[in-house]
Amino acid sequence: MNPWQWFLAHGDKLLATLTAWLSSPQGQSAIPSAWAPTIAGVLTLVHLLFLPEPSSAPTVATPTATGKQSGRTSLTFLAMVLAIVLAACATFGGLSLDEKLGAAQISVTNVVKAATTAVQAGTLSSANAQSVLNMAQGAKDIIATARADEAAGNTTGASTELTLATSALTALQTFLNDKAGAAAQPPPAAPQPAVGPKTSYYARDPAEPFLACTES
Amino acid sequence: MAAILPTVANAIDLLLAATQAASQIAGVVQSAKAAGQTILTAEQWATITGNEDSAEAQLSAAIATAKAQGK
Repeated sequence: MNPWQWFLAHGDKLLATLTAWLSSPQGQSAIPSAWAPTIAGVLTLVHLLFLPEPSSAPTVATPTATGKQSGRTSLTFLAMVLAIVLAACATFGGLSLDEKLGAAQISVTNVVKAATTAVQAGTLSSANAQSVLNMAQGAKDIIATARADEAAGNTTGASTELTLATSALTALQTFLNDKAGAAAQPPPAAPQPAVGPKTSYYARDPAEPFLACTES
Repeated sequence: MAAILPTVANAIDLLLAATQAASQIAGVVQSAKAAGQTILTAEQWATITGNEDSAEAQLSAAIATAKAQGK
């Protein structure tokens, strides 16, 4: 497999690793820009959507799969939106607790907006959208509690609530990942290509810690 | 090609949502920093929570429409 073939097959993992590194404290100190992980995330999406599958795989006629676009639903995009937003959020170092709460709430709002777009486009079921809405409302309630704690001078409690809100967002991400992964499963009768489908970064281990707006 | 276009359109919409979120966060933080604040103003929080309430209402309406269509 030449380097281009390798990139076609594994580039998404490479870009996702780059995104994760840019969101890490080491990456932030190297490139202190919130846009770096955003750009890396966009490149990952471009890789997933627009680059072809490795041509070394034999051409297999399948009734349902016509490229990388098939099997990838808006759930994947929603997960990516959340991942990009949280990655960008993680790079805003030096934020106050109040600013982090605001950033977390804006993230929740934009996930809700993205879910609305997906439902209206018919690519997200009403049941899944209702789950997204419920989880977003849960995160909003936690953020509201954190603000109340902060206003009362209970910064420790507010920080704890912020951690909970981040956990809620991570749970939402896991939910979207799971749904996207299930939606991306090939039909049972479909023949598998010799070179397997790309393993998406967003199908990662849910137990893996996710960088987000936690109190530093 | 025609089958791909809706997917591309969705991807662009959602990417715009992501970049919009990053821009909003950056804008809120920068305005707070410029004013020497460490906390957001009541007006900023009202805007943030108002946007959330509006987004939730729109999603609820979209869900209701989808359910009515049997989706």
